[in-house]
Amino acid sequence: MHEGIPCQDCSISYSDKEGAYQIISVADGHGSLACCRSEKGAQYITDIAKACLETFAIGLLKDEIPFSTQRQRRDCTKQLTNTVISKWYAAVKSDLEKNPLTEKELAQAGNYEKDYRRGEYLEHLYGTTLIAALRVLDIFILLQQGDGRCDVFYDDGSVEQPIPWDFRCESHVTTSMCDADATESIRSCILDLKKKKIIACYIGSDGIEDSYYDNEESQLGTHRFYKGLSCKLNEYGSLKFQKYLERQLREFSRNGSADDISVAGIVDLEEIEKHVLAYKIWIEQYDYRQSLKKSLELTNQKIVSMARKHSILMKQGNQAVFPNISYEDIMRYDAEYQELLQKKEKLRHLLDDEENSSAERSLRYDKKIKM
Amino acid sequence: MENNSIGIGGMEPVARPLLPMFFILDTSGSMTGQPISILNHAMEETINAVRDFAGRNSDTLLKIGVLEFNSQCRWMQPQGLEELDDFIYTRLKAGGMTHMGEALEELDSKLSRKGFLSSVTGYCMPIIIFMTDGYPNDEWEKALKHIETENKWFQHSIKIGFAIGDTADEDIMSKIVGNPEAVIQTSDLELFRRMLKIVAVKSAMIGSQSHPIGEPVSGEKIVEDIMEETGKKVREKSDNGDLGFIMPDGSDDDFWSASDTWIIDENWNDL
Repeated sequence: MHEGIPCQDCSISYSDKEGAYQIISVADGHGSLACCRSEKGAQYITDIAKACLETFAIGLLKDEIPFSTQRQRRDCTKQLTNTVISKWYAAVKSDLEKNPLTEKELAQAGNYEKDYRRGEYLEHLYGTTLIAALRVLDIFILLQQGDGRCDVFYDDGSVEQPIPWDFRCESHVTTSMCDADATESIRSCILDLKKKKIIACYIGSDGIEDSYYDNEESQLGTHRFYKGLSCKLNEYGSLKFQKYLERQLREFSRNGSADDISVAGIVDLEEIEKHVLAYKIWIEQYDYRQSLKKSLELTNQKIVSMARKHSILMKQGNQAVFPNISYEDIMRYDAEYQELLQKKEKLRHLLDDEENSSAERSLRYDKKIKM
Repeated sequence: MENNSIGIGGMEPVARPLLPMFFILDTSGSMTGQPISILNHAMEETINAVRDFAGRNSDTLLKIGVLEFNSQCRWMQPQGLEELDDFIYTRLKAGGMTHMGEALEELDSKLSRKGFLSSVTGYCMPIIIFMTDGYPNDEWEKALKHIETENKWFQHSIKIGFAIGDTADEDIMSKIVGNPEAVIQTSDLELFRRMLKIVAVKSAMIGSQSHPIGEPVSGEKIVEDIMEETGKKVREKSDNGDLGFIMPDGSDDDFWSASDTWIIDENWNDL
């Protein structure tokens, strides 16, 4: 947002008229100049994912696809992802034939210019990630290539990110549809609704998780985002919610990661309503803990900044090594430093208390759900 | 924005993003005598000028780190970057070899969120200013290749190099900062003293602004801008290694517009 470049995300949500299946898909085009056609790449992959998943859903509904055993599920899902990838490459190739590379696109390609001029790695121009989900019959099928997250909420109050993670995706580095090993590295999972009931499945680009402090490992910030979304969806209903979301995502991006943000979801509104109160309490507690953590981190950083000067000044004391610094100034600096140390201790205790209380509350909530 | 306490927010408002500024300084044996003395004076003046800029700039939180290298390398502030009001410059001494590779490895280890770049409020691209008067005596190429390819902060940072004196290897400095146009070479130590201050403040000014992705900020662009602003013309490099541009009449204070007032902070004298 701050850089003023157009959004290169794309998202789709689709529900069959009879409600027999739902499909969602989010793609995040790479923002670099060497990937200047990634907006198209993202559009292609979301359309292709939707079409392929729809064909798959219809096949399952008509009982034309063997999907009972583990092996059948694995083989069919592999075939599905292979189809998605090959169709994307075909779309990219077709676009290159209709719209050959321009001199401008070549000149701004940086390290890729030589390859592009030789006609190599041209799919990189369209580079994009993909997350997609299909709900049909008693299953959810989830696909992912690259970063971004999929949060799945269950009727027992728990939440998880069931798609296996690719640890090559970290700190603004991502795998991509244009990778040579996309066929092997694309991830998928199948969730059986008979085993554990899903009340919501959300997918979103990495702009969401990057907007939360200290979120990379725990993903609690991502969960917070979607719990908040669920509460607002419950409050507004699906029609008004769409407008709310468009407004809020712009604001959210501006105040957070400044990255493009796209989200999509498949949500059981009746089931979500039962969990809204618990989500609200969890969100308040999370926000409070985060504000304590940030205050503690800021205090720590200021202590680090002051520690060396403080040590030097204390050693000098009232000796006139700094003729333009009065003894009173030195004492004032010391007082500020001591205050910071006390603040750090206080914040530390508050955070420990809050984390202990949170653990107890979680236990009580789990017991309540099981009862 | 409507009440978003249970909305999709949950973040603190974005405060000032961190603008890290690093000085990587050669304090090898060849710097003994006048060069190290000039370097110390140059750094004190530069810190004062950057402190003054930081005090007038509320867009970013400027923090500073100084790494000296000779046979070893040592941070002036080993616990982490320091805000300008907290930073005390301790005078450097010269001696030993020129282990630039070791300096690059140390920089690599600290140019990360787990190193010196911890921030809850976001980041600007780091500014890294190198200075050497000679050539490295260790495996600098391996260290450079590693930091160039593996460290995204280094890749995207604003890098400017000073190659001081006739024995300074300008080619190596060009490789380190990524572009020969981002290297300032001079044997005039007084000129170096003035240029260091100008480069540091200009980098801080530009580094604290946001830029469109198609117009990345680079060290060579900053050096080019400074040459245009300070020089009436550029001539060929002369035999004695002078930078080869004409300074305006008078001191380099003419560089700044009439509305800029530089208050040199004399508080931090020799320890």
